[in-house]
Amino acid sequence: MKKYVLFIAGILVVCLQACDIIEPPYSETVIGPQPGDTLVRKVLLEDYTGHKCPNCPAAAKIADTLSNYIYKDRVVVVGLHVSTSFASPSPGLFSNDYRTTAGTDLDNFFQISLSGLPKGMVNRKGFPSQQHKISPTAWASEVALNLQQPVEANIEITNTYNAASNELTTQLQSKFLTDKSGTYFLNVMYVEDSVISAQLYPNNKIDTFYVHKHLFRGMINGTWGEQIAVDPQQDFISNKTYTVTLRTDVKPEKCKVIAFIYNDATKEVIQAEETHLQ
Amino acid sequence: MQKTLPVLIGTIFFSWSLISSTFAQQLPNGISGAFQADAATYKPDSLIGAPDVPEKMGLNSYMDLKYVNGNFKAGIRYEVYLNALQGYDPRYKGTGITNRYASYTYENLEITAGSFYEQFGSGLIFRTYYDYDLGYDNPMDGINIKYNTHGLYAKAFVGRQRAFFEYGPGIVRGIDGEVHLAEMFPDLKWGQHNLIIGGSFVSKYQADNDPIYKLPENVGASAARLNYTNGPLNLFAEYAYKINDPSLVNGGIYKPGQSLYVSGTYSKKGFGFNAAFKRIDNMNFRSDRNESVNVLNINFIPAISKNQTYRLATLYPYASQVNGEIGAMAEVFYTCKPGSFLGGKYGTGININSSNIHDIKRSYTGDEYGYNSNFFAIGDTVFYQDINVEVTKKINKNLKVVATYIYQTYNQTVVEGKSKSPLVFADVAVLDFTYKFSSTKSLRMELQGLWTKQDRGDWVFVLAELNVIKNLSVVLYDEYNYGNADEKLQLHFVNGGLVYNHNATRVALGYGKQRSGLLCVGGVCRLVPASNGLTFSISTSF
Amino acid sequence: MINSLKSVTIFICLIVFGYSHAQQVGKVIPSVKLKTLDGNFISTDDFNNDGKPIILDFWATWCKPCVNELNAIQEVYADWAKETGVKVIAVSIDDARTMATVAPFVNGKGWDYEIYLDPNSDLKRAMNVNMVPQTFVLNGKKEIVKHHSSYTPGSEEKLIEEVRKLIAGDTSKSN
Repeated sequence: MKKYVLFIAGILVVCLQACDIIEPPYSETVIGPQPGDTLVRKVLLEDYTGHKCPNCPAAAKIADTLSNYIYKDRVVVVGLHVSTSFASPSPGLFSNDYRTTAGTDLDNFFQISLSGLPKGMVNRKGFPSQQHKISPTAWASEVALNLQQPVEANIEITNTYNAASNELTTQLQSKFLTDKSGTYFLNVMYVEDSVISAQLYPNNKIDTFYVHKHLFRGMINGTWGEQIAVDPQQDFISNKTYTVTLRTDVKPEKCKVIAFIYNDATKEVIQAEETHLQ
Repeated sequence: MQKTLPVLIGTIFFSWSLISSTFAQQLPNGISGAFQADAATYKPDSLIGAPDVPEKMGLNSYMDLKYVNGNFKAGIRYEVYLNALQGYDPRYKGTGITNRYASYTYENLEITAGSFYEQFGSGLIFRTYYDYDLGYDNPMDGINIKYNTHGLYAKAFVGRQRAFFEYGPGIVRGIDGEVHLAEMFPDLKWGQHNLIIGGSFVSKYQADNDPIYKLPENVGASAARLNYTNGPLNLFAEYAYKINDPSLVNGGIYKPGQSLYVSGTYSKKGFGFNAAFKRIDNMNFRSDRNESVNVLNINFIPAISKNQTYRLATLYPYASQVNGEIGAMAEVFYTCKPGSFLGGKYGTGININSSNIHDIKRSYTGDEYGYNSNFFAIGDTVFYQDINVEVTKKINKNLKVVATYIYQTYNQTVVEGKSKSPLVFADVAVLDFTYKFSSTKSLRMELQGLWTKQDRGDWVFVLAELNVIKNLSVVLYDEYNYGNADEKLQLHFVNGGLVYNHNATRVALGYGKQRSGLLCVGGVCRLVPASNGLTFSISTSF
Repeated sequence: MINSLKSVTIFICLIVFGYSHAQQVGKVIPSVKLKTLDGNFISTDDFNNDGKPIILDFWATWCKPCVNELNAIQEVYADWAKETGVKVIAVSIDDARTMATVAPFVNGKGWDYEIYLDPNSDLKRAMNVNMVPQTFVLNGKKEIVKHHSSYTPGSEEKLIEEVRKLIAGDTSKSN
């Protein structure tokens, strides 16, 4: 009897040691990007969201913290409004429809909103084993792990915007820095920052002047982009130029062009880049 | 495409009868098992919201095999999702052995290695269980030890948790002790008194790679409980506390969690009374802080409201809110004796049940701690309220009637996460008749109505179940949303089906339309999308 | 549709062929710990009816057919017991949500059964019970002689017939 009591007491002591009580401040000390490196890996974080999704502002805050404070321009964020229940317009404050054809296509393909929002993808990694849908609380660690990998390609974006015709011409130079096998696509889109309109919060609270950042406005070269390389070798370069007419409801001075290269078979993104339109 | 189902049914059946006929007779002693398969075909229907399912059909199935020999037990479970039925998590995909264990009992010691289902107390800090219909399965995979001596019952385990065809990222460890005082000290004069006290501790480990926040890698939770019985009286109380555990579900806050569950019952023949109080505050506890819904739960927080089973009464089902709720429930069962005024010739059964569940009161701190909350303060937001009255009456030798009235108040925003939806106030009435033509032939009918000004408006439901052919039941029902504000959506959901039962085997075939809704078992729910097509189900054990 | 109906007919025939094999019949019920209504443990090894048959019924307070079945048996239970000495043991699979309701529920209904709780579904799993109601008829040695799932009004008759067969078998042997 005594033996077992001792045994249980032993386990109890071991278990009680196994508690990490965190005292404020709860934030880690920020270690930002190291200066000097020009060729760095940049990660694409896709935030699937909706203006009527009450838990989405918290997710947007995490994405914003990563791209504005912690990893700065090494994290490229795009916010896509998707699904009927969270993003459809309704009369009154939520009359804007921020959904896009390409966004809906992507959502249907990756089945994101099916699992509930907010959810996101970090470099679209984990597809198709269903590991690609990542909860916002895991975005930061996923991004951190992804950034530890070596840089494999580099993209340079040069934008020319003609205000008179509302036309954007974007030139993209993609360069592979290592030998890669497989087929690679270049996908180009534009996002708009600081769109102010209503956002639903938990407990039916509404922020009428919420700032929607990185709002996805449309693809420049189609939902899936264009093929640029098959089994590229180191230093392989692809040059592409696209011209599009911007939507009339965007402010060009707030827009950014985002480009990324992905493997066609795994859909995994190997490099991302973003540049202001003007 | 509709042809795929018969082909599939054939395959399942053929292999099953092959298995049963070739093995069963020679099955070595000690081997037993169970098998179930559910298949459905899907036709898109934009009006009811049935999606276009590319694969046109779904199949969920499993087979359990067990071996028992004296003190030794072992088992495996093989699961099939090709593809999973609509409404199940798409991560259920493919086939595989998801569950295997071996267990040995030596005197008062039992050791299990592999997958196991266990629970501490009422489950406030630890419970793993399997519910096929919900797609809920969170067993630990590891080692579980149980030991008892002289009224002391102890359990300890270490394991990782199943999530679909993989394991969650966390490691979970726990111990539990329960002392049955009357058994431990039999010399004391206990009489009808019986006292049981227990305590448990569970801790989970998950690595922190987060560059933004300092996340606790080890999160501990402890609980204490007490059960006192004295003849017709039974009192139970359990309190649990969990340290900081920022997670997806709680919005990343560091506030510790706690919960209290108290229940008291008094009953003697012909009368029963039951009351319960529950307070939950930030008790989401999972072996992956980034998971939600029914995945990788370590604990089990049951709802205290009545578990509804009539179709329309399940339109607005309540599920516990792990982030916080405070509520109470009271229930009376009474049988009016035959011959009494209310009892009539055969007696009358009466059941009255009422529950009232609110949000807890919070004062937000504005930082990552989250909020402070006064333990007994009741929040303003109503989550769920209901009152149920059920009368069971046998009219004569052949006819039996159950009449039910329910008034529900339901918070769609909180329970279903629907944005900007008003509280639903609904009246539900159900008449359930069973008429026996002879000792084995019968007709059962349900007439149900639900009336509300909110959500989808008024509904009626009619069901007829005819049992005249041996072992075969014929079921026909129609659910009609006649009061929908949108006239286009005033739809009928008609279903017909056959159910065949023989010994331990049940086969069901159905055809029709199904409305979208929450399927709940024991207070845990799963969203089932609308569907349209054939369904087939077989289950057996051997 | 015609095709599927045809296949269904074939399958039903297949079941009729296959059912006799697919049973746990002949096996002694497994040894599992259950809870009594006052919180103590009891092992299925301690189920006892002095060598007479036992009807073991898995049910839950939220399961309508289960309750209908136990209500129906209650009406004839006294007669059954007098005639055959059979005992009904009703094992509730109610979990923490409704477990506390079991005692008032049973008393409120005025049932005379031996009631045990299986809140962790240990016995349910051990006996491969995938849904409730499920009923087992056990002989005096606690071996399963009949396993029946689901309930339709009148199907309780099958249970007592099985019990009568057992009793008749016993007397013919002792003669």
